[in-house]
Amino acid sequence: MQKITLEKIIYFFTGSVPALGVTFAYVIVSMIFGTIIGTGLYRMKSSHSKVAGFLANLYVTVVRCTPSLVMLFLVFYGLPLLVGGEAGARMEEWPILTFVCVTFSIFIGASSSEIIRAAVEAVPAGQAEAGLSVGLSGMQTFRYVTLPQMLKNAMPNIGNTVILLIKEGALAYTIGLRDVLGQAYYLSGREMNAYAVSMYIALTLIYWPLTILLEHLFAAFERALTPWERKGKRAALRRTAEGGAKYAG
Amino acid sequence: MLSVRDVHKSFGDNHVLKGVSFDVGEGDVVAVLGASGSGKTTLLRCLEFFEHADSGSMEIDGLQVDLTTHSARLSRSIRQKTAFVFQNYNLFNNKTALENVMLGLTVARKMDRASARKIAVAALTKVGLGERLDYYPCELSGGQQQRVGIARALAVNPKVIFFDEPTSALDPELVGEVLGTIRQLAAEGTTMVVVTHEMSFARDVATKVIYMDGGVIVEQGRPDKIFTRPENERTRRFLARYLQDFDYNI
Ligand SMILES: Nc1ncnc2c1ncn2[C@@H]1O[C@H](COP(=O)(O)OP(=O)(O)OP(=O)(O)O)[C@@H](O)[C@H]1O
Ligand SMILES: [Mg+2]
Repeated sequence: MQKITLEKIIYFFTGSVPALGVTFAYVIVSMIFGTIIGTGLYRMKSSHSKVAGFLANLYVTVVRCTPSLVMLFLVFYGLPLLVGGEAGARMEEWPILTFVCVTFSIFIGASSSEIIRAAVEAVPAGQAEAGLSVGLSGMQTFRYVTLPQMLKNAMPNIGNTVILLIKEGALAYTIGLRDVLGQAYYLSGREMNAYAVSMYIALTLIYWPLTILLEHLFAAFERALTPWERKGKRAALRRTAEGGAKYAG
Repeated sequence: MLSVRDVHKSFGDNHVLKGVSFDVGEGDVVAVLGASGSGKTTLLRCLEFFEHADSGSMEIDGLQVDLTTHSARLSRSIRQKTAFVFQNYNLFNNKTALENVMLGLTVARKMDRASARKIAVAALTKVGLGERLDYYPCELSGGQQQRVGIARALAVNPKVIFFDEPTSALDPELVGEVLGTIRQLAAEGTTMVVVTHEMSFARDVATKVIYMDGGVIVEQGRPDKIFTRPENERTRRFLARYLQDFDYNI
């Protein structure tokens, strides 16, 4: 029977928390590159070219049908082989973090292309036309009119993706990434996993508050980015109240 | 000031515009009438480059342009000379009334914020919304939204404003305030092309009436002439249909 001790929990907690830097690094990098890939895929899908649309859909299907663990191993072991030669050999020296970022970027590319599509389609076409009609360029219309309204739509999905990614560190551990979880496993392994339960409790104490914090953070982002939504709710409430008063009177 | 020549446009094998030509002089208010599906919206959308015409050209403010162009730069430079008021307002949902009007000035025309604000406040005051600067579209009634739409069009000081049925999405009791605003602009000499089903408005305010049917202009001329002595049988039938419920005395 293992003993759970506060002392060990604190030990694992304080020992693993610094590795959050690694977690944040791959989350941020993968989100950025994943969004870039996703934007490209979305543009291919919505272009007039049938070939581009087909390739984009192929990408999404293939990535969706590949288990994340398989993709991670394919990237980690396969990419250097694929590149081959001297360059491939040099790739094997790359930090593990790089391969993790590549893998997750590939995944987020696929999922974000759909998130972006849904977010764009939720903004009525007339919004962009109105932008053009006052003399804005296509880019300016996107920047000032479409994007802010898109973000409102995409924010919950972005938040979910980030939280999912943080937990996917468990996966990256299999190729040796020392993120929070990897670091905790490493510390635990040094003691023959005699205090594994304490370690898992420490991990829970890291992941829970972090996830809750992020959820609040993204909700706050969404509110900050969409002042018109709050006003809208107030207006709707006021209208209902007035309507009610009218009926009452 | 604006002349439109021989515009053709098809959607698939639906030939919607079959050679439309007309001229608009400075200060003209042109009312475009026609049954549903006659191509009025499509015509305005071609002139604003929301649709690519199959053929046709337009001259505006001394600039000749091919309406089939796919050049974003060219379309934009022409759009900077025009403005558009939409049937369903299309105010920027994420911006206040003031910001809606300012955006075309600060971003598209790189005007400094203080001057842009001054112009925007003046435009909103003119349409009677000087008290609603900080309201978001969802906080405004349809009539107020459409008046912001008109202020937004006015503020960029266009050569001509295109209106696509500006009042047909409005509750009947709100139509008057928007037509009143357009009337006021007409009195000030603003050049406008207005697609409308409001016959009394067309008769009283327009300097020229265009009647479209089946993708062509069947008849055009001064409103008193079109409304009292239409030459074409189709115009006559259209007006008869629209005017029968309408207190109309020749
Ligand atoms: N984007 C489009 N794709 C395909 N067909 C279209 C499109 N826009 C318009 N049409 C067709 O073109 C024809 C003319 O439509 P348009 O909207 O220009 O008529 P309208 O005169 O403005 O009618 P209304 O008075 O109902 O607004 C219609 O048959 C319509 O179905
Ligand atoms: Mg129409």
